[in-house]
Amino acid sequence: MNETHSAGDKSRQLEEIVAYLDGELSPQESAQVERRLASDEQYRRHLQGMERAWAALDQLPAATVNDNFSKTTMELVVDAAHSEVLQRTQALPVERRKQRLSTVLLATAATLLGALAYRVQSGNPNRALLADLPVIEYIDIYSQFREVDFLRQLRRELGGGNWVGSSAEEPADQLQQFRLISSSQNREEWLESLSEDERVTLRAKSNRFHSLSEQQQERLRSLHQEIGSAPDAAELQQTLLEYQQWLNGLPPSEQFELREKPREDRVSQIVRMVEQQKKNEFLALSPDELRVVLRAVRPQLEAIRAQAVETMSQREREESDSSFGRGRIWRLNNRVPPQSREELLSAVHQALPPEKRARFEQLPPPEQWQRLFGWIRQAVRADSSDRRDGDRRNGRWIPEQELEEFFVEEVDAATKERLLAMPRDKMQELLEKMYTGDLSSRTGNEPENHERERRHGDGPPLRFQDRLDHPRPERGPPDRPPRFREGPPGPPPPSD
Amino acid sequence: MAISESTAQRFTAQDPDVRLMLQVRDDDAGAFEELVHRYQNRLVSLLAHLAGRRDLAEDLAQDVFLRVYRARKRYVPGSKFSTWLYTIAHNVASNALRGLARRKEVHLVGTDSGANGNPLDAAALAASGLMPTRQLDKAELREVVKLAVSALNERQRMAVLLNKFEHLSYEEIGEIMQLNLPAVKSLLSRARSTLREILDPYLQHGSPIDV
Repeated sequence: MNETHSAGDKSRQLEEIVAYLDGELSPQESAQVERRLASDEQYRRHLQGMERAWAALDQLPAATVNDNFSKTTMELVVDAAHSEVLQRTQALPVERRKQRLSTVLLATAATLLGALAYRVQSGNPNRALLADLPVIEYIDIYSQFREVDFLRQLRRELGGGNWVGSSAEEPADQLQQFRLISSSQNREEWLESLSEDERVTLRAKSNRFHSLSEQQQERLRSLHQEIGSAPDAAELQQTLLEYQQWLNGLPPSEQFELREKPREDRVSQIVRMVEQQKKNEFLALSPDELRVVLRAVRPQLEAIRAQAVETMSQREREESDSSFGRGRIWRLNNRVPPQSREELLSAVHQALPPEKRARFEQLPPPEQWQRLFGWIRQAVRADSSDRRDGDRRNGRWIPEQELEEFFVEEVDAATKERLLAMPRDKMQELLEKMYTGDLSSRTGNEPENHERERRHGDGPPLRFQDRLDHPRPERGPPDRPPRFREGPPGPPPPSD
Repeated sequence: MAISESTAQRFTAQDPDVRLMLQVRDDDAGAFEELVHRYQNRLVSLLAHLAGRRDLAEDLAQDVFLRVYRARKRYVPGSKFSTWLYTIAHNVASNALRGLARRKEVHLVGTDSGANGNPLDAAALAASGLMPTRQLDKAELREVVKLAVSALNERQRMAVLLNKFEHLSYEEIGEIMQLNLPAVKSLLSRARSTLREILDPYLQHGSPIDV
């Protein structure tokens, strides 16, 4: 009896853990689980093990089929359509049967084979596609705003030219393509120049466009026409393409957030984000530059550490030895006396290349300090022998354990609380920025746009490791479409 | 079960794939082709992990699309399009795998792994040389994960794949697999427990899973 009871308990516990990880528990049930997690180490380990095994499924390869799959599928469907027609006509009187068969077969085949023919031959685009080609090709960006004045306002705030940074494609080429497609004379020629993959993409966009209501299609057409006929058409087109380029660098969730904002708020948000990106880009150091900075400050930091050790307890000394043994000299962040800070910053000034030195000197001292330690972490990480395959760009790959220690030891309490209230991926993103010095780890410097997440965070704050191991699930309402692994993003939800 | 007008309208408004399917119902070939493009990779992936064979998965996926086309005139949006599609996929896969098992063309490793079940043939693992006492590289880990998934029975595998890769809720999985909510919970929890038992030793030794 006891064994049965115990087996039943284990089974219930297992179901509870899995349902919690899948976000299928009510808020009260979730809170109960979190209370138990906070106090029951075995329960916590069990959950962590489940989470690890689940994450390992990401190793399963995803299948991709080639064009032949859809081609043969459509051929099967054409055959099926023919069979249907044949079956339906069997019941008809003989005289009518022949007439109907030829008519219906012709119509059905034409309907079905039309799409197949377009895909196979790709040489006879239909008139509707040509007529709406500019709107279809740029449906993704046209779906992001409603008024032309939005582009004007963006241009006023950010100016013309390249505001996405040095990694952006040459805007002149994009503008040339836009004008080519916009001109009705050149569209067929442009279509014929497309590769097979580009045709498939265009077809997907076309279907997306046609899945919109008539009203929405007309709105997008009007938007395109208004831009083309405006006195400042050239500037508007340039801004449109620059905005598209910049937006493509954001994750879909951020794109969605921007799209939903009123125009004024959206422009303000974009300006803030672009300015922050410019600042970060300008102060991002190459691996060689990072090494130079680290070489410049290491001797002084070692000296500071030697002095700091004098005042440490035995335990602190052991932890410090362990940290430094792993190269974590930035742990001295809070132990540097004021007079030494100036010397350190001066060493950094000398080590930086001239254009970045000027930019660095413009920062207020607290920001210079946080930036310096961000660079030191990056430099040590870049040199670390435990760097693994799959590093992110700019050496920003940061092991979870490192991030956790940073969270525990260097982030203040108020900021911790705000981070823990956020969805996991947002929290991790911000924490990484703090780690690399792009954001302060102290209260008061978080960007305004995360205030919303802070307000909307629910549940009691957990330890950081708990949040990484069992992140707050992000299920939406039951009728929200699932996140697709592949496939086109689809048009935004209708707002009118 | 009859679908109310309001339900149909709700899914039509909220799900662009439902709107495409309604166009297919009206014999729009382009809309059907778009649906094929949107779902072909996901469907083949799901069926490949379910059946353990890529060639079979493609055949089954085409069968699914054919059934979607044949059912187009009767289509009424009573759920998300993906739920309806995966219901068809589940039926197609179940029938096919039952037939194959009878003909013994496919060795289905998974047994109903209850509390006393041995979730994975240790001999198979040992033969593969993948001992959990050293770090695995990515390719090796992938093989271990594939073995672990193949150790689940067909229903467990289906539920896991729908939950993990299609991010479907328990309610949606229940609708697809014709199970009530407690049954889905039980199925998933047993499946994940099995996966954990098999994979934990490999993951505990710090295999390099890239983030």
